[in-house]
Amino acid sequence: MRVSRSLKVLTLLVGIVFAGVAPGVTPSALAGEVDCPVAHSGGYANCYSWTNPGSESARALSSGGLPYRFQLYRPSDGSRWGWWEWSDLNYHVLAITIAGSVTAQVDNRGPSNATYKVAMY
Amino acid sequence: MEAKRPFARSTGVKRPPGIVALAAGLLALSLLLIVGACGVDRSAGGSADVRSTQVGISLEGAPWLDQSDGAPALEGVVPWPSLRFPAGMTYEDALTRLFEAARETGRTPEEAHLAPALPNEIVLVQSARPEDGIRLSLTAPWGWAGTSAVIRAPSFNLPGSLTPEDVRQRLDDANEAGEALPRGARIDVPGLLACQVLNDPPNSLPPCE
Repeated sequence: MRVSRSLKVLTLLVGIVFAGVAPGVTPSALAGEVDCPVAHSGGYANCYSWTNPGSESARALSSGGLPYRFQLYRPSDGSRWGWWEWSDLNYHVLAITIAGSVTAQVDNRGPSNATYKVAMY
Repeated sequence: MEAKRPFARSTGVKRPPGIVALAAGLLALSLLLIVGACGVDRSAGGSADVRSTQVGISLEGAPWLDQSDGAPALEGVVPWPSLRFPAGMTYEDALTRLFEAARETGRTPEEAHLAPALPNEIVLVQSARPEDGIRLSLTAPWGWAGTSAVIRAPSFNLPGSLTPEDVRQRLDDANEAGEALPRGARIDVPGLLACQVLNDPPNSLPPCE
């Protein structure tokens, strides 16, 4: 019982630290990524869903998919984060800790269909 | 702070005049430093504002930082003060320092001075005077997006030549070391709309669409 209470307190403290007050990236003990094909000029495509992410990232895999917009969506209550727009082939990383199931979405605003590597940690 | 010098008890011995003069001089110098530190900030629409020299503030609750329930809309937030950075620092420099300070101390960067809040839609003030540094909104330093004007959270980038495993490792390493930015990372600098940037002397801003 005592161990369980201590664990709850520790979890709460960790949650407070990473709940947006102290930004940064959370340990990637668990992570998921996907190569997400997105048609150009088709609006936002749902690329990947993850639960309780602490970091999110996206990377265009070809210049035909540039520029692109990236946003996060939580279906349970309609909350949204972003959008961010990027015009290069680098990894772009956010450090937003979100509770619940989150879907990463990409809007390909480039001249051709393209694939994006989307990850959440 | 200088330690107080105990005054000698009155024993008939006169206090050296030099000590009195020194004390008066120190008091005058202190007053000069206090008055001199307050300047007149004529940016942000030309109104005269008093520049604060307050060391810094906590960033807890900043709308670009605290987004646990989604990105807030600009019109719904109470404006935060702005930050004036030292001359010579670029927008990217300022964003990098702000991100690092937020991560490492939870407060504004020490080298930046607090200044009055900017109009909510203004992200950046650039001065024509080289001795003035840029001024950055603390309401939306990474700008805002879309017709709903939602405030952007920070982002950074890592070279696309890395493997996904490399990226994860660098994120882990930075987290373990308590570093704001992983090795090789650069802060993302958003492209700002013309209506989000104020030039000093004030320019006539196009409406934000």
